[in-house]
Amino acid sequence: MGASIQINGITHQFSPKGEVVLQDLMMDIGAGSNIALIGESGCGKSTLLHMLAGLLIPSEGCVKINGRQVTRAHPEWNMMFQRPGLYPWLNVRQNVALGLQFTGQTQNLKGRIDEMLELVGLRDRSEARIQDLSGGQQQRVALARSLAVEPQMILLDEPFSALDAFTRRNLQLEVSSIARDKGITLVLVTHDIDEALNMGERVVVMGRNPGTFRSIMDIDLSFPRNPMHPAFTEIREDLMDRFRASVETPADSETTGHTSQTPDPKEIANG
Amino acid sequence: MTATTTTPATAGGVEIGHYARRISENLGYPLLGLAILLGFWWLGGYLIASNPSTQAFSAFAPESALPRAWELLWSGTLWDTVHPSLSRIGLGLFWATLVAVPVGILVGSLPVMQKITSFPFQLLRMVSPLAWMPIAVLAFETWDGAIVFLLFMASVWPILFSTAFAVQRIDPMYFKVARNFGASPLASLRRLVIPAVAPDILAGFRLALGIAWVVLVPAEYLGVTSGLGYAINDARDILAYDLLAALVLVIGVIGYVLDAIVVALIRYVGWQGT
Ligand SMILES: Nc1ncnc2c1ncn2[C@@H]1O[C@H](COP(=O)(O)OP(=O)(O)OP(=O)(O)O)[C@@H](O)[C@H]1O
Ligand SMILES: [Mg+2]
Repeated sequence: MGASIQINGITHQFSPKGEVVLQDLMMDIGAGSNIALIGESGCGKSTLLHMLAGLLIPSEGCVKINGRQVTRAHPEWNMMFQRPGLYPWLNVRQNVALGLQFTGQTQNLKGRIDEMLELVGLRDRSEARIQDLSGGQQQRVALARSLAVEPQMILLDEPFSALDAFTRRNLQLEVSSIARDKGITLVLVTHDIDEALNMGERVVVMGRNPGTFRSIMDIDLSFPRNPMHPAFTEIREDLMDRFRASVETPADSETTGHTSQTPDPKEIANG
Repeated sequence: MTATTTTPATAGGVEIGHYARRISENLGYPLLGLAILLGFWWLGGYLIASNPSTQAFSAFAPESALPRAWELLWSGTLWDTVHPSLSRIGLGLFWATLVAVPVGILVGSLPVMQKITSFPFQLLRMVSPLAWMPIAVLAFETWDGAIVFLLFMASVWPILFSTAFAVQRIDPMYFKVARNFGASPLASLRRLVIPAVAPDILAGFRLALGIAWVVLVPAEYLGVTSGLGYAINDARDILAYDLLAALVLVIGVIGYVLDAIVVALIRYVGWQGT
């Protein structure tokens, strides 16, 4: 069900003589896995995500999804942004229907919309105007809109960063569990290390000038994760160090870590 | 005891006071404005009547014009006068909308089109619609056609400009969402662009209607033998100043009603605002 992603030697410049924004990126993301990308502002996270979505073509290298090179946007590879981008002239249901209508999947529209609204807990607000929803509810509508088209992959660009801590945490847990239930491949860009650790099976630390993968860390903690658990705290410290290193050291002296530093995962499952 | 019996009465009094205030706010001010206008009209009529050199026009005053308007309303001939005017303005606006909306969308979505058309469109827009009259008369076989063309020239610009401007202001995020779902250009047009700019199209339409309605009367002075403009000209020729004033009143009222209809429509399709 989920898509496998291959990032295949991507280097990118926005203009032929411009600065190199991304350099020699290489990574395989297995079908159905959840990846979190963190890194300093301007290191090219959004740029990379747009490439995975087919909204931007790299100047060198390519993205392959399920083994096929990406050349354009595709409804099964869905991107969610920091702003939900809901259409204010449509109500909640109509917004959820939008993806299906754009992709021409209009059979059993009503049933699918109801199912999605149920899933994100907005069944009772289905006729509401977008302007009358809270930020968190709006992001839920956007999530329902994305899920309705049964995507193989969801790309999230800081989708929760404008929300309060409580709503953010709830949505992190929900999105993460929905994605695992449905086997959807998830790539999340975030500024928030806790968010990365709440949702990612693997956390990738990027550095800037040019943007590279500095450190790739597999997180062997079971879901739902408990931020209070000592193992979580320990991994967070480690990740913080790597993040700091990515900010401080220039790209040339990078040391790409591939190891996972995890204490006994079984123990954490019960924590 | 007395206290309990007076309480509902007081509450009722407050209630009535509240409604009175709302009615006076919704209706009182417009009525006051109307009364002032009537006062000026009456004053104008009085001045005309008291000056020997203008005395002949004294029927222009409300005392004679208002009864005449009343008579006009119930005589059944009013519709014969109004109908041709309405159909001309309807046709003019119809063609203007048909041309202005697609062109406006094109200009708004393609920066190149915007650059190319900006100068000529601004230039044409500044030409008084009535200045096209000689050309219109040459180009159209009938006077009716010429008048519709003038109304078209008067109303096409506001619709075109407000459509183009609205398209440019659409949140780029909305396009990103559409592209993300692989929406075809046609689907984006139907589900994104048109609903996004519909309120602005109507706002442009409202401006256009206002201009066209103003242009209509002088346009109907020429050639045609029907319509409000013709009727005004005719009333002047037969020195029926009370009829002339009554027609001016009719023009104002119809213009107001047409505008109110469009305003209601704008409210209906409007999605902007909290
Ligand atoms: N369309 C563009 N044209 C030119 N340069 C761009 C464009 N988009 C992004 N950049 C540049 O590419 C670099 C990476 O930008 P990007 O938005 O991918 O960073 P980011 O990691 O997502 O940052 P943030 O965390 O602040 O969102 C930045 O230096 C930015 O200025
Ligand atoms: Mg970004």
